[in-house]
Amino acid sequence: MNNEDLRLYRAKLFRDASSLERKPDRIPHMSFFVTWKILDAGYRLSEAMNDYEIMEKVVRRHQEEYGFDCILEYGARNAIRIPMALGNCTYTVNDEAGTVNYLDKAICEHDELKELAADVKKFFWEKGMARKYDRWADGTVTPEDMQRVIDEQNLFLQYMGRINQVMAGEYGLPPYAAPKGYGYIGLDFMFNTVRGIRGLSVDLRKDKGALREACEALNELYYKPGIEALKAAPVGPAMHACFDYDLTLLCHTILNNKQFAEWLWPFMKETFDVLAKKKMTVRLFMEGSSKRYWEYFKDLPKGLIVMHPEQDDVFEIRKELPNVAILGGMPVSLLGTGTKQQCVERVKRLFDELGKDGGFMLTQDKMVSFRNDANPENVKAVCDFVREYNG
Amino acid sequence: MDEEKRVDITKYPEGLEYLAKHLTLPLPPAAAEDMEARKNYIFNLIGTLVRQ
Repeated sequence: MNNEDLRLYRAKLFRDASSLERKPDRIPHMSFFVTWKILDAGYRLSEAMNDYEIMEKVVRRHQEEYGFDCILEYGARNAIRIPMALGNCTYTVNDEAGTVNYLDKAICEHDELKELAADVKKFFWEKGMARKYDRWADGTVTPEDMQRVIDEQNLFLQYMGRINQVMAGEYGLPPYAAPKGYGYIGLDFMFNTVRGIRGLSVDLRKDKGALREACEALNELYYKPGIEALKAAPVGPAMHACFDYDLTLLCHTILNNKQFAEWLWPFMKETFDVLAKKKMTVRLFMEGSSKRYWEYFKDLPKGLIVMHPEQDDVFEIRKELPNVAILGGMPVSLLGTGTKQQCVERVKRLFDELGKDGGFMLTQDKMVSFRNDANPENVKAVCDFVREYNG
Repeated sequence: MDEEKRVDITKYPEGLEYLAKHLTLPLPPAAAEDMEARKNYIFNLIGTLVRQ
């Protein structure tokens, strides 16, 4: 099989497993390794994150060493060179510990929500930027600094174009998703960027009216154009990719069921309805646990949702939600601290109990980030077993 | 240009107008002279930077 055929074959494995109607030729295996692969290749985090040639070597080696059917991340996470062109960023790279830490820094105070709602662009420009970047705050930023940011973003996009081509052309790997428009839900935006975990928790209890106005303003700018673009997309899946859409959510972790129904579900439902109408498939990654919301997913059509659980038990998902396909099953805790035998036994059980009739794709339950998240020997043993057991 | 150099680029919308007019943007030729496209590019960049 040449690389072009291999790429389409691998994408089809995911498509067949996602459909819950066709049994794939074999169970596909996806890499959810992020910064771990830099350390595994023997580089310091700051070396690879600041040098796209090294990052390319890291991604190539990851595939050469382990042989996945898809790699979810090609070095795009923590793209620190772009903000660093302005002098600082909210990521701290610690090469000694092999960690990247993110500072949960809110750009808006509770009593500024109405100001944000009145003009998001003005707020981001004048207050958001000043709270993220010291030189914006003290007024020393220059047009030349901004030109450097643009040049850095361009270099990053060139790297992404190149690495996608390399991994497709030389290794036969499909892209994991091919979204035709993306609607960023306002409440998740508030959680991730605008108010942070603590701030949003306060807003939900203190002044729902102001929070609603702010979310509506963000939705106008980020959710609505995305969902409209999706609605305008042609019907049918993008068969060259593993999935059509990716929905990663964080803010549900601080919501109760009533808040979920009020603030998040209407937008998720609208997105799912559009995707279902288009006969598309979404990878749904809800960080933490989504179990208390499963009731909402029970009536969704087969072939729409591929659930990638972080903390929830995959065997329980299969039992409670037979209409969703599952991507996951390999605990990072086992890859990090278990034996080779334990890891292989886990995969065998997953394949025998969840994969034999389709609807299952193997990957790690969390983004594999730190050195101790996974023992390379365990990863190798799992990958070898997957190839042998799949036949 | 000297007068324009005094524009405080941290203020909206004058900062956006100035940057959209003066920076070199990687836009396709058809959009390179379109001021709306240039402003959209700059604001999308600001949106990315506040999310970083």
